[in-house]
Amino acid sequence: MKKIITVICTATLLSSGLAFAASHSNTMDDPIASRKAEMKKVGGAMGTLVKMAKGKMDFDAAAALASLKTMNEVASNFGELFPDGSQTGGKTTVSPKIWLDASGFTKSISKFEADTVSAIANAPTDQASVGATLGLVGANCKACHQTYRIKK
Amino acid sequence: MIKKIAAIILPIGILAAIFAWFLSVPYKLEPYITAKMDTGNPIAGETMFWAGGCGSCHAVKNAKGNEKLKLGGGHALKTPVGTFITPNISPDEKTGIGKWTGADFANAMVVGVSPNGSHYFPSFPYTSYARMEITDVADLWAFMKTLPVVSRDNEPHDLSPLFSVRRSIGLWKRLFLSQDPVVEIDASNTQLLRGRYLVEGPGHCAECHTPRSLFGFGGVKLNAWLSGGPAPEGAKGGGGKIPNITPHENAMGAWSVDEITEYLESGFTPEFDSVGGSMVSVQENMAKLTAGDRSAIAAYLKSIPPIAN
Repeated sequence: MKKIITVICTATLLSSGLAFAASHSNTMDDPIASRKAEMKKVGGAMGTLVKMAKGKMDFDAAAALASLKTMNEVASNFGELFPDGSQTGGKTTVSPKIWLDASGFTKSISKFEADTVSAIANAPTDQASVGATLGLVGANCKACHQTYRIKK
Repeated sequence: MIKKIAAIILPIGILAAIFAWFLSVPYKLEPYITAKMDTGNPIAGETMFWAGGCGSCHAVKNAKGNEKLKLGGGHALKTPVGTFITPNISPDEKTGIGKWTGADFANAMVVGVSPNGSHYFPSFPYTSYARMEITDVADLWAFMKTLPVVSRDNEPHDLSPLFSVRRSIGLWKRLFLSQDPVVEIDASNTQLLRGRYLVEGPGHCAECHTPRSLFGFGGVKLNAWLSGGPAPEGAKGGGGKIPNITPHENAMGAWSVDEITEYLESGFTPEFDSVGGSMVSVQENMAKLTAGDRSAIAAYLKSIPPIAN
């Protein structure tokens, strides 16, 4: 009996340790993979809003708000995912300008975050207002990609 | 012996130089063509302005909205030949093109020759504009004259001495300047014809989206049409590429006509990634066209030969 408990405890500890290591490595050791994953979240959330604005999806206030919150979460941590040393590798499409013009890059992310905050405070109530929200937050995508991303 | 060789080579060299001199002569459009230049319609010309993307290089960098109508120039275009500084093409009489005639404008656009009769460098994409209808050039000219005056003196280009002889561009033009359409299209398909016109002519998509011959110094490779090219902006820090936009499975194969149309309108890809880099300014120009023109461009892009590259 004691042996079984020991095995279970060890296995639990090990697996939680592994899970921690995995999540840890995802954000800290592999910033390229995690910033890509974060951007995918924004893309998904943006997709929901675009489809609603275009009438390809029924307006859903809760889903619209959830999309804005997703973007806000990503925006609030996004700046930390570009540590020195992550300029190359993993098919990254970053522009060196992120590091050459760090303050400009940070400013762009802060603007995105601020725009998501005001969009959440003024959450869309119908199809037309989703369009207005999109105009506010959506412009951040290309504003940042125009300067800080390079297609490869 | 040396005398003998010189006696043979020298005359050949002189003959070749004379021949090259005549081959490189800048020629202008016939007056019966440029006669149409003063009857343009500025409202129709606005469509050509956005299709042609004038503001993306001649307005200030990353200009938005009405700022794109102020064509004071000043962009640095870094190329393997050197750095070109885009000129002032606002209607300012002193520093812009306010004193130009319609014929001057047509010669610049279609044959790449300046009012004083010298060749323009093909960094100005007259190699594409050459495919424009003269009536569209006239409409564009009428629109250009309505734009705000910007006073800004032109700066000289900073080119490698090897490439700074304008006269030699005449030979380059002999090889690479053509008004012929590139992709064959059934004459009954009006949508594809419109798409081809916009892409191959005013839109000048191939200037960046097609690789060039002669180690990058030649014209665009017609047999690799729109299959992508090196990005000048990425050359010194990341090896950026201008994407392949043919319908090959490695390129735009998975995109539908509607998805390409949507991208040109809103800047969002089918996965809701966004347009980036120098394409942002181009996409914002495309957003000013009619929905019909955007889908014509998309339909054309789906119809051209797929190339892996």
